[in-house]
Amino acid sequence: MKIGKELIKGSIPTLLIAQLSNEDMYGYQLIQRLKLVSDGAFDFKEGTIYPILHALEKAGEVEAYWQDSADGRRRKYYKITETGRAMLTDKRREWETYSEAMWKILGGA
Amino acid sequence: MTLYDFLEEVCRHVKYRSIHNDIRDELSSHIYEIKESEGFTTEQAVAMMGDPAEIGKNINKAYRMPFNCRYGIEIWAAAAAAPLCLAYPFLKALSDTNIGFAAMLIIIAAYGSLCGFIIRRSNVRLTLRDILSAAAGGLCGTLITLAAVYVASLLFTKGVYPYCQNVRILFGIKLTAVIFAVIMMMWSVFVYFCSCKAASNKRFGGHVPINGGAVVYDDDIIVVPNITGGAAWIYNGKYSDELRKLKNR
Repeated sequence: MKIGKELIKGSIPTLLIAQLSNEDMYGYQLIQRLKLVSDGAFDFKEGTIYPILHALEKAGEVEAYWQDSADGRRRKYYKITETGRAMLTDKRREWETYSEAMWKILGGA
Repeated sequence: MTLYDFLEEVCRHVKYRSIHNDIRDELSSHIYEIKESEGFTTEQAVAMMGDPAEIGKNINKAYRMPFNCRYGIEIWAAAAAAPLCLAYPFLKALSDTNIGFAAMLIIIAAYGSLCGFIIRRSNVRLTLRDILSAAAGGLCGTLITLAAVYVASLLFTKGVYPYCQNVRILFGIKLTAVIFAVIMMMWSVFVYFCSCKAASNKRFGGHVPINGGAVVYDDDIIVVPNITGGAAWIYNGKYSDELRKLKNR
C-alpha cells in the first residue's frame, strides 16, 4: 500500500529524526533505511530529504559532520542533538494522540 | 539531465554561495551511491533525486540571505558602510568631548551588535568567501558614499552651508591609503569572479583553477580546490584531456 504524498510530506522530518536517534547516518543511508523499515511504503524522491536535513541542521535538531568514505568521497553524516531528541519525544506524543483520534473515527465507521 | 545540470540547477536556487560546494558534494555523492549500489545510469539516478529546482528552493529556505539575493552580503555590506561614513564626522566631533567619547563607543557598539544580529539572522556562516564578499561590498559602499558626500560638499561650499563642518576629515585620507583600498577592492572582485563565476561559467572557458590538487568526483565532474578555500567545479564536457591529466595525477 502506497501512502499519499500529502500525508508523507509533513512527517518526513520526524521519520528522519527517528532514524537518526539510533546512529549517525548520511543521506543515502537514511533513504535506504527508511525504505527497508517501512517495506517501501514511504516512497518519495530521494532528493527531497536534503532540504529537510538542512532545515533540521539549521534548527539545531541535528548536527552534521563530514567524513571521507573508503573511495575518497566526502560524506555528510547527520547526528541527532538533545534538541532533536526532545522534538522526537514531542512528535511521538503528537502522533499517539493523532492516530488514536483517527482510529476512533475510522475504526467506528 | 546530466549530473552537472542537476547540481547547477539546485545551486541556482540557493542564494548563499558558500554552501554550494557542500551541496554539490552531498548530492553528487548520493547520486554516485545510487549508481554504485543499485546499478543505475547517471541519468536514472539523477531522475530518482526529483526536481532540482524544488530541492534548491527548499534548501534556500534554510540558508536565508539578506534580500534573498546572490549578492545579498555585498549589498548589505555596502549599505552598512554608508551610515558609518556619513556618521564619521559626527563621531569624530563627539569623541573630542568627554561625554562624547563614551557616546561614540555606545553608538559603535550598538551599530556592531545590529550588524551581528543581521549576520546571525541571515544564516551566514562567515566563511572566507563571505568575508571577501563583505569586504568588497563594504569598500564599494564606502567609495560610493564618499563620492556622494564629496559631490554634496562641493555643491554646499558654493554657497549653501556644508553637510558637516568636519566633513573635510573624510578627505584627509592619504592618497596611498586610497590606492591601497582600490587595489584591495579590485583584488576582492578578482577573487570573487575566479571563485564562483568563472569556474562554472562556460563564457569564461569554464576553467580557472587558481591552484591545483584536483579531486576527481565522478566521470562528469572534477573539483579543484582554489585559493578562496572553496572549490572550482569544472565541467568535463569540453575538457576531457585535462580531466584525464588530473585523474592520473
